[in-house]
Amino acid sequence: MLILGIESATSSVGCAIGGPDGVIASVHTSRPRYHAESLAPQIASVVEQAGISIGDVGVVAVDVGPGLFTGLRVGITTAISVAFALRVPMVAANSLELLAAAVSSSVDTGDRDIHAMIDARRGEVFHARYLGQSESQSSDCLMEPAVALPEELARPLEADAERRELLLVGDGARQHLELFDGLAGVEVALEQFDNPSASTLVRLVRPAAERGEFLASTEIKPLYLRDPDAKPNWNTAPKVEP
Amino acid sequence: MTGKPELVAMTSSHVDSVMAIDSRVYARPWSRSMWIKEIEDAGRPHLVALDGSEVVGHAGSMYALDEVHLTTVAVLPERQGEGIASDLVLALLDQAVRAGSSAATLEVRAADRRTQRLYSRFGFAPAGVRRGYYTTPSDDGIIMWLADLQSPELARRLDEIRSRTPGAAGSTTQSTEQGILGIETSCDETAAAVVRGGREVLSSVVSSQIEIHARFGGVVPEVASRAHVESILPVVGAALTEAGIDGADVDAVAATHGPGLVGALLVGVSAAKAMSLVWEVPFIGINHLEAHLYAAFLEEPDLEMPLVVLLVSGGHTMLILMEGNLQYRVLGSTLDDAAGEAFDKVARHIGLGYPGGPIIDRLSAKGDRDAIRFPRAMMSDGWDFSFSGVKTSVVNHLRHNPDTPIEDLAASFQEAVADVLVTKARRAARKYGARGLCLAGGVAANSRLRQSVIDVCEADGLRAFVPSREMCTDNAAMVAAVAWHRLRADGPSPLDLGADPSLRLPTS
Repeated sequence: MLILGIESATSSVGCAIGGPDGVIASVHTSRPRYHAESLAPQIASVVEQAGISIGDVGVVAVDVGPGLFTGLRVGITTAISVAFALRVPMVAANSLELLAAAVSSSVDTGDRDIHAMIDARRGEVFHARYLGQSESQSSDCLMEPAVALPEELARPLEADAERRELLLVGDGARQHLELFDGLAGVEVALEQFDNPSASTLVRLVRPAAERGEFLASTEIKPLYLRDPDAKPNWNTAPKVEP
Repeated sequence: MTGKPELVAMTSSHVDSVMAIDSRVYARPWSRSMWIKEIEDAGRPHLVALDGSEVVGHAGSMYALDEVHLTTVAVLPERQGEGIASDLVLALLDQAVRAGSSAATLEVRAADRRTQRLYSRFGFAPAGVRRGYYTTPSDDGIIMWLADLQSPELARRLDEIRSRTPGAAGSTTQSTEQGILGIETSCDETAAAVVRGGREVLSSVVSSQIEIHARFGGVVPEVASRAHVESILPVVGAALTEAGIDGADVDAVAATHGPGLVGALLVGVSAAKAMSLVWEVPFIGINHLEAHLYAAFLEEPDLEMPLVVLLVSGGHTMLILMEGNLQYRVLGSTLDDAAGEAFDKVARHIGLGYPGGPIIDRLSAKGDRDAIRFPRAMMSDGWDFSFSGVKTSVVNHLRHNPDTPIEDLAASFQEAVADVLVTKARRAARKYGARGLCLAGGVAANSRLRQSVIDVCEADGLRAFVPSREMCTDNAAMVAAVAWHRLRADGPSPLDLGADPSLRLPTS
């Protein structure tokens, strides 16, 4: 069973083809605000790299967020549309568990738990905590994804780290490094783990896909974690001058 | 529009028709005696494109040593954009390859980017400039060359163009067309449609978000984008089911890529690209404004050009001269508020709710449109519009006369807006010799505006094209319709096309 994974929740965008023995091909680029331009050619390219035809894809996996809304929607819309057109089922993962999975599969996390953070703009972060030393399936989630002000996270993180040390990961932690770097018992993971990746996605979802835990493309819901700014605002009304 | 024209060698019986075409597309057409000499010269083969017995286009070449010079390519303005010019060039190049020529050359106006694009699809590349080569209007000539006519690469390219032009010259594949899937998500409607041959609507599904946005008093971009993601697959699925067509069988997938709300546009563009990738059919990015212009074609089989179009919506107010298929000139547009925006703002000020257009329209039916004489801005001044003044006048009038019946206020305001729009459109029709006046865009659903256009056309002997209300508001049938023409004129869009929130109407 070949899985096409699509990931676009943060400033990077990518896709990967995963087979039973791991990632067969992947493309990742970091060009903020160009997700819509990049993604479709990337899919064509990853399919070619893998030496398959797109019709060979049996499952489409997607990162449902949290992340930056516009880019996130490009990935989700692309993924559900590919699945719809191929008539294949889907699996979903969230971007915070992808961060945790990537770091815990490549770094010796020791006895530490992993606290993942994604830049939510407006001075906020999306965050969640996962048990270290695991492939971070949802059952290992210690703190559900939520949105918070990073300055309000620093103290509780330090307090928690007294019981069990924490490895922070993600562009949200990087963005507010001055708050977290130097907290006792807290370390920020390397920059290479800052963004979720499609390669991690296809590896992470494989067990669920093999158990047949599928979603229909119409059941995929973005994890926004923040309400739209739905107060009347005439300056942003749909005025598009020719 | 009928099937694909047949290409035959030009004879003296075609000269009148060919000269008639030239007189419409060239500033300095060839004389009759030149034409007679041309067609008698075996070294100067000419082709005509025949639709039945009507000549709709022609093209000519001149052989010199081992080179061929393409001397002229012309298509009737109302038949441009159907791929006729492309078929003619293809046929001339096929002839040249058979004749053993090694290279082809031609000149094209420097300003005529569209024709240059057509030639570059064939592999022609600019090789030099002839300063002031063209007159009336004066312009430089770009010399383009196509080398290696006998190479296998060129043969492959010509075959590719042949196969990408559905119903290409010499075949009658028109009937095998299944239809183009169109997707529209530029503002607050998620829409999908399947249209065959640019005209035959097999399905058109619109999921409106009006009720969602009504509580905010306007479209909230983030709310709209979220709703599009939720609706896109159900809407596309319904459009395919209604059309009785399997997605994998569509001829192409098109989506509006601008202008509009960027987050909303990206949903439609991403979905369309993904589907085109899986179904291995062309993707076509469509201009929302151009789509509105083609809404009328879906209901009027014999739209005659030139045509003056009033494109009026919540975001746009434009006076457009449509000179031929896919050929427009924007004569004027609003300098401040769009017409629809003025309706919404006035309705909000009077406390009528959202969207304002239909509410004001409904109230006006019971009011006196001559009760208050609101100002008509820039009435006799150029082609542009301004609606912020009339909006302010309504507000001031109500402040000083709080007892004015709301129906009279609505009717008088609506009359002022319709009066300016139609008066200018009528003047433009006279000046440019238009055959008709056409309404497009959401505000074209307004009863008073529709009636004014019909009245004016009757008085001036013009044809009035007033699309149904469903076709005036945002829908995807118009997207699929214009995609059919664009695919023939320009080929598919690249898969790295993004959304352009401020895309302009392509002008000729």
